[in-house]
Amino acid sequence: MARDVGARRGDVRAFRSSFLVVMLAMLSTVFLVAPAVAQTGPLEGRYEFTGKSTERYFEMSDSNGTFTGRTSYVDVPPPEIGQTITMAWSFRISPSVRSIATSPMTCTTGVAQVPSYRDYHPDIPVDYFLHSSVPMLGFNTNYDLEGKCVLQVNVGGRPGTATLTYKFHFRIADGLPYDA
Amino acid sequence: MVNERFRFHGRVEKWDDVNGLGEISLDGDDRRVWVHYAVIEPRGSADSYRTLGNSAPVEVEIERADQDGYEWRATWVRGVAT
Repeated sequence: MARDVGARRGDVRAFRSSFLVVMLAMLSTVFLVAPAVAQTGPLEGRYEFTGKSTERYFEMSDSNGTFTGRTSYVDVPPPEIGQTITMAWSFRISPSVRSIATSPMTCTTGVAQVPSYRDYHPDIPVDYFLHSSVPMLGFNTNYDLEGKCVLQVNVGGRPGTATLTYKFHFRIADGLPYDA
Repeated sequence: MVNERFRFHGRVEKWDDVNGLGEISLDGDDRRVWVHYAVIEPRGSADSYRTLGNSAPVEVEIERADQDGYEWRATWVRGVAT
């Protein structure tokens, strides 16, 4: 049986590069015009963790911040039946956004396929190193993590609300061969 | 650019590899430093797995912070060969 292996590393890089160009264009508009409510496109990426030493860490950045994801899973020895994995992640707002912040931020994150998981931090400092872990993840399943941080900003004397969104589409491959 | 003024030698006091979090103590200093996997300098390529070993000696750069009960947070960490 064929299986959907999702986007691989090359696809991720291409996706991130093209997305960054769009984001930079949008940001120049958002922060120069300084609307009352600044809501940018998401920081978004896709990755497949495999358990190999160079495929257990993911990072993506734009002018708004940096997101990382990481699993401690290693594929040697092979996983046991029923084994689950934890995916740790982090998000930090960039120094440029911190410099225009006029309030603490409130950040909320969830995973569509794990309704029991929700990470919520109200009124945290804008330089807080936002981090959490999503437990009990299964192998070879597509997951969609999505989060946002909301804060007040002031650009050139014009106050507003900024919403920074991050999306991370991931899966954890067990690396085991499939029977025909 | 690395700012040498804030670089210290220290040791990993706690490391939770599943969640990628830990605590570093500084040599000759009683400050305790919060550390996250994202600030670990990778060995090899940028994609390499980022981890620390309990009791391992490290070089660390720190900043003042309000982070999970810690007043100091690592901004960069590198393991030191023994």
